[in-house]
Amino acid sequence: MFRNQLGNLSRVSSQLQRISRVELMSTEVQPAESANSVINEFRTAVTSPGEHSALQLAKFYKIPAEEKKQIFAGGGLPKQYEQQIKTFTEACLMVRQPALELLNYIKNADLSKPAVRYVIYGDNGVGKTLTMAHVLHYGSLNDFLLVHVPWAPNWTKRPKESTNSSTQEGFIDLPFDAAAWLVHFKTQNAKLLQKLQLKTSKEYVWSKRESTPAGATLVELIEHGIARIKYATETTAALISELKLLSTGGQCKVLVAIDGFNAFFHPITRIFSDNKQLVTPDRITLTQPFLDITKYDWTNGICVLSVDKIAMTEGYMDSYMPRYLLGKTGFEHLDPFVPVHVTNYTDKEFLSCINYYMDRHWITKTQPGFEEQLKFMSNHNPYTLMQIVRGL
Amino acid sequence: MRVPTAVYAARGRQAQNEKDVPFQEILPLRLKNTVSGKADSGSDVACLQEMGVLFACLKDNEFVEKYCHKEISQFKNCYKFYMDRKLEAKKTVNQGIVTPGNNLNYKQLNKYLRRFPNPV
Amino acid sequence: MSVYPQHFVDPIINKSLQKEKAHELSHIPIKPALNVSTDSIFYGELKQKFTNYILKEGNSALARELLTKTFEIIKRTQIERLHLAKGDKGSIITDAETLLINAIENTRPLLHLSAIKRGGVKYQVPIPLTEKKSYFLAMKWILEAAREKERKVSLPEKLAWEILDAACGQGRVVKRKDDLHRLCESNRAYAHYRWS
Repeated sequence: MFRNQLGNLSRVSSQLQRISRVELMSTEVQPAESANSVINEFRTAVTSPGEHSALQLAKFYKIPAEEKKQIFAGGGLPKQYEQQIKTFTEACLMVRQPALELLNYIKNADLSKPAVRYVIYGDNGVGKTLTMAHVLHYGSLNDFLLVHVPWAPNWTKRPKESTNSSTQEGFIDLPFDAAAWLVHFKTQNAKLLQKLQLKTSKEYVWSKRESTPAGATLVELIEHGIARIKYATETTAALISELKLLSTGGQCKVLVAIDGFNAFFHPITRIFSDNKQLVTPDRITLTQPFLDITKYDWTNGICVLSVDKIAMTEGYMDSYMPRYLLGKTGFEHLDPFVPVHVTNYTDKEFLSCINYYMDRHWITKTQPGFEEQLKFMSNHNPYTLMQIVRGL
Repeated sequence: MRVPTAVYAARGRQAQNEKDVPFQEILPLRLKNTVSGKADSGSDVACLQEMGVLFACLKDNEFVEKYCHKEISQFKNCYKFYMDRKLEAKKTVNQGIVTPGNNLNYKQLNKYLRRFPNPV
Repeated sequence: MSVYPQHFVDPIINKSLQKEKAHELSHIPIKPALNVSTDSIFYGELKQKFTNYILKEGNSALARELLTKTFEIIKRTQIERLHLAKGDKGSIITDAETLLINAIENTRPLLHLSAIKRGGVKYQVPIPLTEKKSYFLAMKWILEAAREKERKVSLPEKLAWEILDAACGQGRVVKRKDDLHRLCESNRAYAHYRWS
């Protein structure tokens, strides 16, 4: 056990070595604690989100590079956070209360019951997406198939290409976005799909010459969708209905994570049909499978959704409450759900964040009282803090 | 008919009749009651020697400043000292306190002259 | 030129100093504080000045944002260098404001040339600079160098490069200063023509 402990520590402390103080602390701590090894006051060596508890609260844990690449290669972390990760040469997430709460719910959930919907909500820049990233990391380590939409408003606000749907009259297809999502799904779940060898339940006929027979693996289905971009949207729909069937049948567990879910219910988009009419999200074929999978008519699954002010368009950003953002239809679609409120940093989290920034040389001005001032200027808001600190 | 100049020159030129050209006083025929301050501003050339030393040093060191710290600081100090003195002098001039003596600046002189104006 | 008469004194921004001097200044008229002056720890006089020089058409929010972005880029490059450096990590400065100050100090000229007419001929006469003017010129040159760029390069990017270059004593701005010094040196024969 002690050796295990050492190995665990040396992995994390390798990037800390230039600070002798930190190293010293980590060596001091080794024998004392066993279950949860502490490196210092703002860092924890527990890299598996499943083992996080209140002990690790407000501490940073490191996502190993290959896992980060697997889960977040196709998006899922905010752009500025990605930049920060690149600068800091490590991907660190803070263990925070909302994520712990969510993980606790998920761990104790009875998966044989219908899928529970969790709605993450909160003001701008409090860390909804990063909370979701934490949960995604947990899901990926615990054999959940991830159905992850990094940022839903991308489909309604800036689609790569929109064409008229060939199967459903009056609907709009987003073939490139659908294909991109399929690629994202494949990279996220490559290992798991290999292991589980999931099969399709029925035959899918795409055209006269192309079809996917019943009993084909899901990987084949996805690859067909990626190769034939024209059918990517239908492939997505097929894939998601298959996943629902398979998970209800108990063959796999599914974690649905959709960031900016309220975009699916916001009537204003930037897509226009041929006769210059605004297309509402329910007329976009790509949204339908994701609305379908967020219903509660299947089991062995978890839905983590986030509602965000920024997913709306101008004039509709008055409140961050789910009822306001989802609207009546959206609220009824999700009802009943478990709300998870993400708030600004607490004092402890704030100090830990400042310490982390200092460790990474991101803050170099450390006159007495600077923490107080930063606290005052940022109002404990993580994003504002990031914005203020970058120019110091 | 044109008279050659030599003819006049031989007997000398006749003087102008004063009545033909009455005297006009274009500028008043007395001294002003003030003096201008031009002469007091003095020369602005300062620190020439320091500048020469600095140039020599810079030239020797390919204009890399870090080898000429001493010369640079000397030059700066000199100029600063000069500017300070100039400012100080200006201040005292502006105060215009009249003191006895012969080395007076223009403000002081003007004050004196105002007390003893030319009779009109 | 100030709109206030000379007996008005400058305001004291620092809070702790305010208390000290409150009694002394209680009957002296005081000028109002500037909009940008603050008692923040993160306030830097030179930084503030530089922001004012970036400013165009009164858009100070943009000017601030540009300097913030510049600092961000400087910090990112320096931290990257820090991670890449093999030995000697102490010599790399990651604080952007210190780098800016270093850059300005490195590019401050000592003299400049002024055209003076003597006997119908204009002579370029080297003249010493006041401290204030030399700071002004340094900042102006850095900005001019940064603004001279291709369209697709953003100002913060170019400015960050110029500052990083100038902070270690190389680059175009430092060269410009050296060129000016060289010119002064070649015209040193006229130095005694100075007047003003």
